[in-house]
Amino acid sequence: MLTDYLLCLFATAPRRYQAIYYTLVGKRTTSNLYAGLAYGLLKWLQIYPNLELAQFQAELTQLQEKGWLMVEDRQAWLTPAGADQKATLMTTLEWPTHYYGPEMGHLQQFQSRLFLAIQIMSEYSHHNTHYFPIETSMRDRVQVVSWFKQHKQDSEMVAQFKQELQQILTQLTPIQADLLANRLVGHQIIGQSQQQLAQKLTITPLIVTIRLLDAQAHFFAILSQHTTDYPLLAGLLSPLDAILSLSTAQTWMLLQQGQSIETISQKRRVKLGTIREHILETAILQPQFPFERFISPDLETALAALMTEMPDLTFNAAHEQLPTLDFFSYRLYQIKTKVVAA
Amino acid sequence: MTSEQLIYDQLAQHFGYSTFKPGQLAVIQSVLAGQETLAVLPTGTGKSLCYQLPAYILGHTTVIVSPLIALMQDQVAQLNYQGEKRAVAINSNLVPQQKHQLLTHLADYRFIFMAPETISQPEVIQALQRCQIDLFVVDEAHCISQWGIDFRPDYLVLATIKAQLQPTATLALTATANDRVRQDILNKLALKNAAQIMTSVDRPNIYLGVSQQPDEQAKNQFLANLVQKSQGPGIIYFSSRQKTMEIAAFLQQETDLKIAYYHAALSTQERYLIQQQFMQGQLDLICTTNAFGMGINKADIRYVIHYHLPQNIESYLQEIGRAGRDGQPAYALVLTTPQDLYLQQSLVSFGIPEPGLIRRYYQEPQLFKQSQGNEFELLRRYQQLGMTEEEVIKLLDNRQTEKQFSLQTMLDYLTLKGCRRQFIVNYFDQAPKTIEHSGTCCGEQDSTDFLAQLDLEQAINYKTTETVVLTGWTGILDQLF
Repeated sequence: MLTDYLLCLFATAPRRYQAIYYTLVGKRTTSNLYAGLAYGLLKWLQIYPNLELAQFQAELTQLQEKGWLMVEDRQAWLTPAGADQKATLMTTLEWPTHYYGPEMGHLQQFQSRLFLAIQIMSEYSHHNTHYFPIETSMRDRVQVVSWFKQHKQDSEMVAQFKQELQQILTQLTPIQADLLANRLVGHQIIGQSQQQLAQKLTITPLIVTIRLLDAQAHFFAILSQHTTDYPLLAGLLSPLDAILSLSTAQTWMLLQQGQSIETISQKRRVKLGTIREHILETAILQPQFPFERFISPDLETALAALMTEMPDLTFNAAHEQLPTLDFFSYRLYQIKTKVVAA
Repeated sequence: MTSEQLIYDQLAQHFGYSTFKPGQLAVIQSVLAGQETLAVLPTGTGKSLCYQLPAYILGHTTVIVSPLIALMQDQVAQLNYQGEKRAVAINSNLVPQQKHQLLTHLADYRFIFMAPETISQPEVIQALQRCQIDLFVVDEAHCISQWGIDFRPDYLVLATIKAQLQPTATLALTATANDRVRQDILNKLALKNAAQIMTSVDRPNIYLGVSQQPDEQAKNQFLANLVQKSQGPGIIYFSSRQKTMEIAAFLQQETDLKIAYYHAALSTQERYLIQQQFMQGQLDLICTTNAFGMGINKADIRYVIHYHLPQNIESYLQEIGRAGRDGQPAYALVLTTPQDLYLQQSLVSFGIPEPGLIRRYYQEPQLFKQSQGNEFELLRRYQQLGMTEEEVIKLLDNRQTEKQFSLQTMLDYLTLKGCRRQFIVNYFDQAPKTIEHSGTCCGEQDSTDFLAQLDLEQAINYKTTETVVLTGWTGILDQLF
């Protein structure tokens, strides 16, 4: 079943399969993000953080054995039969509709903070202190506990929390809301495992995973777009949920203030090369990136003349034609053309 | 000297017990007397209590070094469950700001859990030096020994750390350590004058069974029949994740038990839910890899079955130690087929780099900068610890031999003609007792008749009445708050 989904991530043109794997687990190097963008797979960024490389490779082997995929020298592409199969699967498989990778890469962490908060609130409202807290990373736990302490004095806290939850759950489809609620843990309630939900609903565990993920993504989207409506729940969001990584976000902030790459590098004591990587990451992930600040009109014209017909022209080949071209500008131009197309 | 009465009072107040398990009281008294202590207590006999209880009497800070983040979090959760809020794990997944804040307020905590790589950081040492450390605990102390089954090079810094922290008392804890490992622990932790408290590894209420099956199909049928007839709850251990799922599905079909599978690739939340359901008695059986069990404190587990050969006798003992903690009859059973041996043989060298790779790594480490996998993780750690190429080759060669030896011991156990309990006691105990072998002690099984003999047959043959529809979300919210 997972095999079917993975098939749909390939195309008849060769793709670097490792880049696809790293997109799914959410490795945010510039070259991976770029590959994700170029393949149109960025929306699935970090959708499967637990996927193991060995399993991914085993699935690819299966696709090869079925005659749907060719693999050679780090690249993989669909055979004609594979392309037919993909066309069918794209319409018959159940796909998440609310998940958007660049904005939800840290959905899992948010989810664990939310569930822990619900458990703490539930036990607190039943005056019980003897329970096993849901396992989270120490980082998420520290955040939730201090969030709870901050609001604890408020006698309306539990009621308001429940109300905020109700308001968001009402906006989900009933199927999504029920599914999500059946996972919750609280006073004398232990949620259902995915295995159990799969049995009860007579669907595969993978479909349960996908529906749950979509429900969580929907919940997250509603909350993060209307934080003022849900002041308690919004406290569970984290700066780490942001689109950009912390360091890139700092660079981006300074860029928006109009500072040059060199100044930022000196100020932050970060290598020029790293600052350029930050800029590429921002260009890929952040909407409304000011490409014109980094690519002069002349250069753009020159690159367009060279690459419109051959969008995948290698840097070396481009460099031969334009000896002053550097990799940063080359890649930024590529990103621009793909972002505009997407 | 702390009076025995005070110790018993604390036992009742914080843990709700009125008696100790063998060895616990002696360890606690030794620690309270400020004595360096090495305690070898078998799994299932309450090792954590040996530092938790003294912490309440001593009153300041207890630092516990633990090898795995998951293990630390389990222990913090366990303490939380007991109503203890002043427990924290400082580890690598905290963001710097949170870590800084925790370190500033470290003295507020009674129990501080850390991995050896965290505790050796200068800022952490400095923060700890500002606390009054009553007790320094090295949990899973066998990890310091290269003769041990889980050697962790990071543990080697702990003697230095101990010297820097100057705790009032030090306690090294382990469940499995033969003579050589014990000596190694004492040397490497600089515990020359430590009191050693050891109890026998023998758990008389756990029947030790072996069942040889001709092939996998026969094994599966025997298994289905066995778990259907057994009193539960129980655990079946596998050495492959795929098998946990396959056999769980198979048993689900063949029996009317409530079954879940469990392995490390499941999400944290999924693992939590399954663990809690099992703890609360909502599941009859877990099919799992060795990822399940750490921190599982369930008293009434009636059986532990091994579907695949255990890697070695040490981990076998740890895993079966989860059965029968309530002292009531329980059984452990290894299922084998002739093919299983090959699987285990091939796992022995898994993750251990070959000498050729070690040489190349040391000559040109930059070639392997991007390489992933256990082999490279291991080599990077060794190099960071300043070990030379030759040292690493020798060390890993020893480990290979050691793993081979452990596996051989496990095979000897399986094919043994004599008393298996005596074999285990002889292997681990310093002064092995003589076991009085009987029908309820150990044996080889090709039927389920032994269940009746042990009084472990399932009393009622219930049919599960599962609700098929999901509870609606509004109802769940009302139940929660």
